Amino acid sequence: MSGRSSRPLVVWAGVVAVAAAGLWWWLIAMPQRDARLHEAGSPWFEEVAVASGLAFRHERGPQRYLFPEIMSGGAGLLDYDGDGDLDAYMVQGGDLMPSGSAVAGNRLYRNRGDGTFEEVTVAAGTGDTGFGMGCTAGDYDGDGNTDLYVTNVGPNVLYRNRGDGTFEDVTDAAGVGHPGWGTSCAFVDYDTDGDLDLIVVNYVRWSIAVERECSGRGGGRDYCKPNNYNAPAPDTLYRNNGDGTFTDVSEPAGLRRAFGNGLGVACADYDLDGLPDIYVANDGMPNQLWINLGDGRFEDRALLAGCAVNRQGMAEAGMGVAAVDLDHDGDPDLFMTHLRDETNTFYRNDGGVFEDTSALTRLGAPSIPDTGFGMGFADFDHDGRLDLYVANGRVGRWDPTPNPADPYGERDQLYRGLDADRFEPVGSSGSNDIDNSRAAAFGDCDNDGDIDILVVSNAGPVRLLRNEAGRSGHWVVFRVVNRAGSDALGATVQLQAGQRLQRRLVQSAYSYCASNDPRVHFGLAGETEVTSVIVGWPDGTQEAFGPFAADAIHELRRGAGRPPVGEPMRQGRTQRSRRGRGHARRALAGAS
Amino acid sequence: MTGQPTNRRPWRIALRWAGLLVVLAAVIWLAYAGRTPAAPALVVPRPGGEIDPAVARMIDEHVARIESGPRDARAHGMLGILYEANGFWPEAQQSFANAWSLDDAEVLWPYHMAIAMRQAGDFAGSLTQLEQLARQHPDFAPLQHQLGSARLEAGEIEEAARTFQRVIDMAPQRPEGYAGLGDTRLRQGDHAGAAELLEKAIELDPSYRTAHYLLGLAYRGLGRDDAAARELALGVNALVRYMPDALTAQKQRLSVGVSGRLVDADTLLEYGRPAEAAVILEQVLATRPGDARVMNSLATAYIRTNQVQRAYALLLEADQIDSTSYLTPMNLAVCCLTLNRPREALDHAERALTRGPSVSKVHVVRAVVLAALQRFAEAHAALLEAQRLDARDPQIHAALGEVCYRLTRYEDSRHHYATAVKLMPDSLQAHVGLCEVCITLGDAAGAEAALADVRRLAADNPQVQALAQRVAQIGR
Repeated sequence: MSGRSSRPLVVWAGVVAVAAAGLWWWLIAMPQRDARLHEAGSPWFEEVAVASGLAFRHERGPQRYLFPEIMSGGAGLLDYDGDGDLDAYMVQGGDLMPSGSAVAGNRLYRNRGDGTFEEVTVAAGTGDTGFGMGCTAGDYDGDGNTDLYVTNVGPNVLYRNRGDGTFEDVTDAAGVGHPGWGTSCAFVDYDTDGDLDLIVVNYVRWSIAVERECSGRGGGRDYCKPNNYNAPAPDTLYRNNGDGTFTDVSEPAGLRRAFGNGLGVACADYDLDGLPDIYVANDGMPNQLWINLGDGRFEDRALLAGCAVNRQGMAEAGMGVAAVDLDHDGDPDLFMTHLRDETNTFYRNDGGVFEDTSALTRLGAPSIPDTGFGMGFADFDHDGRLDLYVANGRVGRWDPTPNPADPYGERDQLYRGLDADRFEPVGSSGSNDIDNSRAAAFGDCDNDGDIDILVVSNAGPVRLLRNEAGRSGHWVVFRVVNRAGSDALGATVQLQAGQRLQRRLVQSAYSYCASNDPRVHFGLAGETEVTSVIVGWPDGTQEAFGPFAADAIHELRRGAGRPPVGEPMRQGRTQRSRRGRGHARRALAGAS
Repeated sequence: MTGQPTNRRPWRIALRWAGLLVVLAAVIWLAYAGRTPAAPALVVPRPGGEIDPAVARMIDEHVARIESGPRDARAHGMLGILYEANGFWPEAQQSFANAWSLDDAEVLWPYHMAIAMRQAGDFAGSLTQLEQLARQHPDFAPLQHQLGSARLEAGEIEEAARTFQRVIDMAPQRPEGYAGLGDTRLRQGDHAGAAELLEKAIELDPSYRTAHYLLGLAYRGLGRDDAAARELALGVNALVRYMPDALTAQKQRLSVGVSGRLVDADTLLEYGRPAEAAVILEQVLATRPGDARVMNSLATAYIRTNQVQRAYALLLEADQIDSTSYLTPMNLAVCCLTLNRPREALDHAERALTRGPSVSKVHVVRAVVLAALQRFAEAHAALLEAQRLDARDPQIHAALGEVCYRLTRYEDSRHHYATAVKLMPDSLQAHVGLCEVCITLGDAAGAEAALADVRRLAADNPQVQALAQRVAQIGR
């Protein structure tokens, strides 16, 4: 009796167990397996440039070993027509010889809103034909439209956005046509008067007349190194006069007191005093950390701060640079790309005092074989941790050569962010072409909530890497704007979602010769709601916003928020208590 | 009956089998011994780009040596060193692998193979190889130092610390182990421990820039701000440094490519070793006669080794070859000044200015010549122009300090000297100048501080005693 009566129980228990296992498989294991797809080697990106209508090819003329040939290749992602999606601006090189072939000029591509582009250069009037290097975008005249500044080997160009889909060249009237070799540049309100000033990084005082013959691997002809010219160029700081014109304040601001072969720039408040500072990455010379003294003057404190040279005291070949708060402690850290045989270097910031922690982040050793240029941190796979993409390409012929057809080609690198601010290389990024990459511009080109990448190759086709990895988690994007509706460059955003706190800078100028999507993007992993957002505006005031639903793009407009309650975000003039900070602060103060 | 045969048969069978085995073994041994394993494939440069004729010639020589003795491990190894010295990393790696396959008792081949692997892009493979080699050759200090450095780069701090400690144990009179261990202490937050080790490294080699830089970081952590600033400045522009091994000298000798040789010479000049630079530059000039740039570098080396007449003759020759460069007349001006011919120096300086009006160094040299002619106001104006063109050059501040002093603008002089010593903490001339101007201004504290730096830089200099007496006088 008892055996017979227990049999249905056993059968039912089995059925329940099988059902539970199935349910577990369906609800838990399957999604996890999907999320692990990328770990199993699926590419994070798909190259879609031609399919999207970006049929741009960078040109540098016949190879004559003129130095700028090998450094050129810039790009920008900006919303020039204010329709809410990112358009693309491609900076063209050209032929440096006066007698050389005709140049196609820069190209502007309008985003149709579906992730495809159409070329509108002629209609927009942005086809500068100088030998181009880089660009930066920002609303310098406060009319709500995004303007564009372009650097060249030769006079730079400022395009004012009329707001009707066209631009006018206002370089001469604005007084910003620096004739040197401009590279990366940034709009930054350094004097906190509400309008955007402009920092232009200059590379080498070069002309065809000073070109020299250099040799590379085994003594064959190759491009020179910047120090072969022994002619570093001072950088240029333009103060916005508020009336459409600028004044070159480089000398009174102190920028003539230290300079190198400048290639990268990243503006942020590194010492948390509420004022934007300027960091310049130099190629083969010590970098500068221009600390804003608040009275129109800057002082280079890179050496004492610990970010002029790497941990061994070596001046590395700084190419691209990014300010990023990797450890979410409220102060921006620095990452920069370097030449082969050097590491890419991560400087962790602790209240204005930096330490080279490249080895601890695991970003150093994997970068030794390659020469990094453009790069950017973003949470590509929406797991709540910042990842990193580095665009690589050579400036000389070295061994081994991964692509026999292009002795300067290298493979770009993608790193997945791990816990404890560490990274690991991801095997398959989807961008497997071995090209001579230069600028990399980052932004959500198709407004699907993940970060895509536009990569320019020196003497090669542009690549648009559409993100395929971001589908495994939730996300949120904020456009942070001032009262005029322009991107609030220099603002900071602190987000709380679940137990996770993340910080971002509102910035368009980082990477190498690139202008990036100024919107801030967060991966939220499993969180479906953002509890609160605090914005630190460039003048030091703060506003709270939220809650917000995940998986959407929101606007944070100045004045539309509320005073923050509880603990405000760490931003300027805050208490610091960590070990070593007191000493370091004194050291920095002493330097002034 | 049956027992006897059964007892004897196994013995015979065993004997037969043993004999058979001996014969078989002998046959196998003879077959093996008679067949020498194939020699490793000769490594020649991979195609791609032209090769410096001097490098190509040297490769041909080494290849010929291997062809005459394909199983000569040292010949393969020396070809590897030749490739390493001239930046052919994959070729170097393969050549060292060949040498190692022929002589697995020699640690230098796999050690340099690991170096080539890293340079060729295989950092992980290189680290693994170094770890394996370190277990087999625990007493080879350069290998341990290389391993420690690689472990630091890989973020393996504890392991790196143990490795550097072994380096210190093996080579206590070399600075590299102390610097490496000091770096690990620094990464662990032990600033005091790091400072002690790094001070020891600098004591063993005061020119070790990386040790200075790390010491600056340690002092910064300890709150010794002034000392930190000085050490950080002394450490800037450091170079990669490995412990020398038995092949280091060979490698320098085999670096025959012109560009590599010029880099070596520039480095030697920068590090205050002009005699060695002159040797290299003479060799380069022999392969490139009439190269005005090389002639100018060689002239600089001659000037710094007190062979000024020789430099002068060489520069006059260079001036005939290249009549556009500012470099030659600028160096001629320096020569003439050293030869106490200031009028001729000024002529050359003016010519240099015509050719390079936007080069700050040209203005500096002209200013120095004008100062030698007692034309201090003009010298001051020239230096201001130089500063306008390149305000980061500390030499300009030192020169302005001197010229302002001569113009009795002592406060300005002190300001410029103070800036110069901040930017060049190892410049004896600037420290002495600062001390002098502080004495003139009656600034006892400033003079004492400057004198302390002078003593640190040149304790044995007889002028220090005289300076100290003058400082003591204003102290009273």
